[in-house]
Amino acid sequence: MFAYFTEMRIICYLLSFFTLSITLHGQSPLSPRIANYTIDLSLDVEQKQVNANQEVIWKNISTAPVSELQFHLYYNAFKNSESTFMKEGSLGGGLSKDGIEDCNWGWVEVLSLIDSAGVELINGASYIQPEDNNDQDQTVLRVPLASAVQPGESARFRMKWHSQIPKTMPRTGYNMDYYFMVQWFPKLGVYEPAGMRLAEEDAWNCHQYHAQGEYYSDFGNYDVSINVPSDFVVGASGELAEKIEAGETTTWRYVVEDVIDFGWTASPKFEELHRQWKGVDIKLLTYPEHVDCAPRYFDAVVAAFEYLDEHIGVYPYPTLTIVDPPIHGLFTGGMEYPTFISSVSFCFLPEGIRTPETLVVHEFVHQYFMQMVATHEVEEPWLDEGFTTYFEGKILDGYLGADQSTINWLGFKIGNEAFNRAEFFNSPNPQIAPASTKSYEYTEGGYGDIAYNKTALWLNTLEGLIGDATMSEIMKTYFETWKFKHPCGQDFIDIVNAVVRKNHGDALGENMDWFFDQALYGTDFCDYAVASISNKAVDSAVGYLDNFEDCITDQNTQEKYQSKVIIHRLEGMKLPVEVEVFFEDGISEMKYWDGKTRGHTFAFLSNKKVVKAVLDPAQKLPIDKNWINNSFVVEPNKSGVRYYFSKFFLATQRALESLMVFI
Amino acid sequence: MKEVFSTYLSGIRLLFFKWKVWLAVFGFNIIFAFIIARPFGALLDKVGANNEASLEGLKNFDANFIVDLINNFGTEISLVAGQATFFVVLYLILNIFLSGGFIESYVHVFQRHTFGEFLSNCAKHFWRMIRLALYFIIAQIVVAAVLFTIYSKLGLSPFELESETILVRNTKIMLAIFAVIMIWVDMVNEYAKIKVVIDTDRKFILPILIDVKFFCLRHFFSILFLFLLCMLTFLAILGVYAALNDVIVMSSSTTIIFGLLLGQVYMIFRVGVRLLFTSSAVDYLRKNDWGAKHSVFPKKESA
Repeated sequence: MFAYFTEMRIICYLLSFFTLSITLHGQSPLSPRIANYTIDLSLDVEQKQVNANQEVIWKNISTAPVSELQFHLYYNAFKNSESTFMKEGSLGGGLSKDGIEDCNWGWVEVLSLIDSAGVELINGASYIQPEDNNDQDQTVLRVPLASAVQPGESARFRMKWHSQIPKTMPRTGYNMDYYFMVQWFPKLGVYEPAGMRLAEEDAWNCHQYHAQGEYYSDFGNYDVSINVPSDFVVGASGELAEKIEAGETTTWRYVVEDVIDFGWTASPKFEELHRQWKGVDIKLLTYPEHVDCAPRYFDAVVAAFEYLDEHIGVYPYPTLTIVDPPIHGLFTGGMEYPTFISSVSFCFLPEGIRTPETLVVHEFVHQYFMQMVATHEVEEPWLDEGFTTYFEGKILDGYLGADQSTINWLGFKIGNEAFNRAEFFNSPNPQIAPASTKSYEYTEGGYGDIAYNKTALWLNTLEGLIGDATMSEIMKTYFETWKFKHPCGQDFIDIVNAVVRKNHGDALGENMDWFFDQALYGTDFCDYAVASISNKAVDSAVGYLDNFEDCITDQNTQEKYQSKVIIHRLEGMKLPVEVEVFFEDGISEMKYWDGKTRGHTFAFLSNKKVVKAVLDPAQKLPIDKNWINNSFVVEPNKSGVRYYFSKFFLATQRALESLMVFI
Repeated sequence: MKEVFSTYLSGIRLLFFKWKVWLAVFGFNIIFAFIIARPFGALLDKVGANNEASLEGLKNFDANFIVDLINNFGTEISLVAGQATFFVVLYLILNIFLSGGFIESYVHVFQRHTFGEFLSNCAKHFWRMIRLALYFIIAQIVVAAVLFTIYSKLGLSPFELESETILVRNTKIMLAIFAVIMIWVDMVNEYAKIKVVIDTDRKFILPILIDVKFFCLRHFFSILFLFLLCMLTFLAILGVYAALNDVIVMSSSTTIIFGLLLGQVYMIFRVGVRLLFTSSAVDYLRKNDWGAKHSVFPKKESA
């Protein structure tokens, strides 16, 4: 009986959901809606379990019948110590001693999977391990079908599953009465026809759950009913369509269209705050001790909305939910799911430490890069994390100031782009892997430094080379071309090549592959330096000049100088550079060098001396690892050196005096 | 309270009366700071020999310059830091050595000491002074370790905290307890140093420490008030310096020199306040503990 009512309810929801979709848009859907989910779940807060009925409607977009399904069962990454996620463990995954004793593991078990003909498929299902053959890893479930799904056909599957929610695992889980439920339900992989992205043949792309790298999924509609104790507040992807109280429990029904995933959170202690932006309801779910931080979140995210709306494209969803977890939910901070993101703040955090702003902007940018432009976070993390870091810098430096958008505290100031540059160059090994590396292949470290920071650095460098306007056009074109699709890195490169050629012709070469070969696929550093300046007085000519009779012996020094500015390329990366050469009369001249050889001389014959040369004066090449050697002055102004020495000297005096307290 | 005020004022008088001590302590500070900072200055000279990279720092805090300096000259900076560590340790030992001589000159205020006698006094008290310093360093480490252990037992793991407000509250409580204990330790240390110099016959430090502890307990509020007066003096000087320092923007050679000079004036007063703790303590001990039973400057007081 219960099953019957549940099924009827699902059908009613589906009908109303699709009616709502048509009413809201009255036009073709934004996305291809390949994988659509209706989930009816109840949260057991005593057992920390989820019991769910799930319906999946999946469309075969390939040209051949598909005879199996592959599901991500992310929660099985937390089932034991032997999963691939736990073995990789670089995110601090794994249980504490107490956690092991208390058996705080998590898992998900599919109890039933029935196709539209009523055939139970779960008995033939098996776990597979496409990457590492670790037979203890149960994060991918392969389900052979009783009848293949024909090309262009949609198939419906009804599932029943339950899961044990892990305690304090990276990204998801519970702690105390706080729940952050992401990567939580059996989710289909992406069936990629040959030629799509990197696929050479029709196949499921369904990676195991790794400690690094997140997800890749198809677009679809979600209708999720979440039954929780009535004192809980629930936030989720999408809009709250319905809230039905039934005694001790309440069902919160959320719907969202044209997204690649669905996340939700629940806690009895959430405080809910709202701000509107151009019809988008921005909801903040926060804890009482963090309420003071709310304006910081709202102001920053509105700045991001405005920037992306102007520079990239329209945010098409009616909601955005920001979750500010409590301190015991720190493991869930800084995550991105469709229309649902999390950040981190503390009640003691000074205003000048911009962690909440940075995280909320970063995660919001993911709504564009990896949510709408649905790249593969595991295979090509640079396409989402790198792009997001790049735009995070643009937005925050514009909103809070380029010299203080990350830290402005106790006299120490640093902007976001500068901070990311610093993080990259001061990382343990900035050359450990190219930025094109898959997330789980950063086995010796460097994932954050390279996928995030190096990519942002070379995107900024690309912008410096091709100009702001061309870069902006590239990003807009890339977004418009690939929104609600699955592009790969080459798709972005193709757009760069096309737009640069359109705007600059051959000025930067036949295409920009030379740049990507170095910045994306290479590991070389970039360092250009002004090595020296020389000014040599040119003497007048002597000897027989005009005829064979009059020998001129007086060699006079003319008021002319042969000046040389020597530039060195100290590292392997080759980029074209600008050099501004200053003469003694204050006039400057801009020179260009393709930067390909190890050194280059700019020579001048003039009646004035060269006094200064500045390489890359507009700092268009932030990937240059040393900006200190980018200028050369014949008679340097030592004020700067004196300033730093004075500061250091005074600090040393104070430190020595302070130490006397201890003796 | 009146007695404490007069002791505080006598301490200031003693500080100025023994201005050579003050000057010497400041001199040591400046010499060692220069020895430590000079290699860094040489590195800066090398880094900025022919470029303008450091000039941006005159206008704004230039994170890029500092980042590139650390990134590209890390080996040299490590070397400078290593040298600095050696000289810091040497500075501390030398200060312990000199403290015996300085306190001796405060105690025997009207006695003229030749440089040789001064050095002889330093040497006479050195081993006991260094033992005393070690005891106090150990005491401070023990206090810090015990409090940190208690603090961590109260819960540091974010995953076990209901809210960070608990952490904030625990931190405030622990810092307050730490501050109170450290004030007590510092007070005892200050008087112990003087007692070590006065009680030349007692080779062992422990009996002196016990005496001083009881003395400090007997005179707790007076000594605490005196300590707080000195602390207030320090805070006032710090406040004035901070305000003036904000006015001076070091953006040219002239303003850099000005800023440097202001920094030296601040350091002179800061060193002076440290000596004021000692000089006022000498006066207090003179009035209340040893035979004299009067201030360092009895005539002035009786007048």
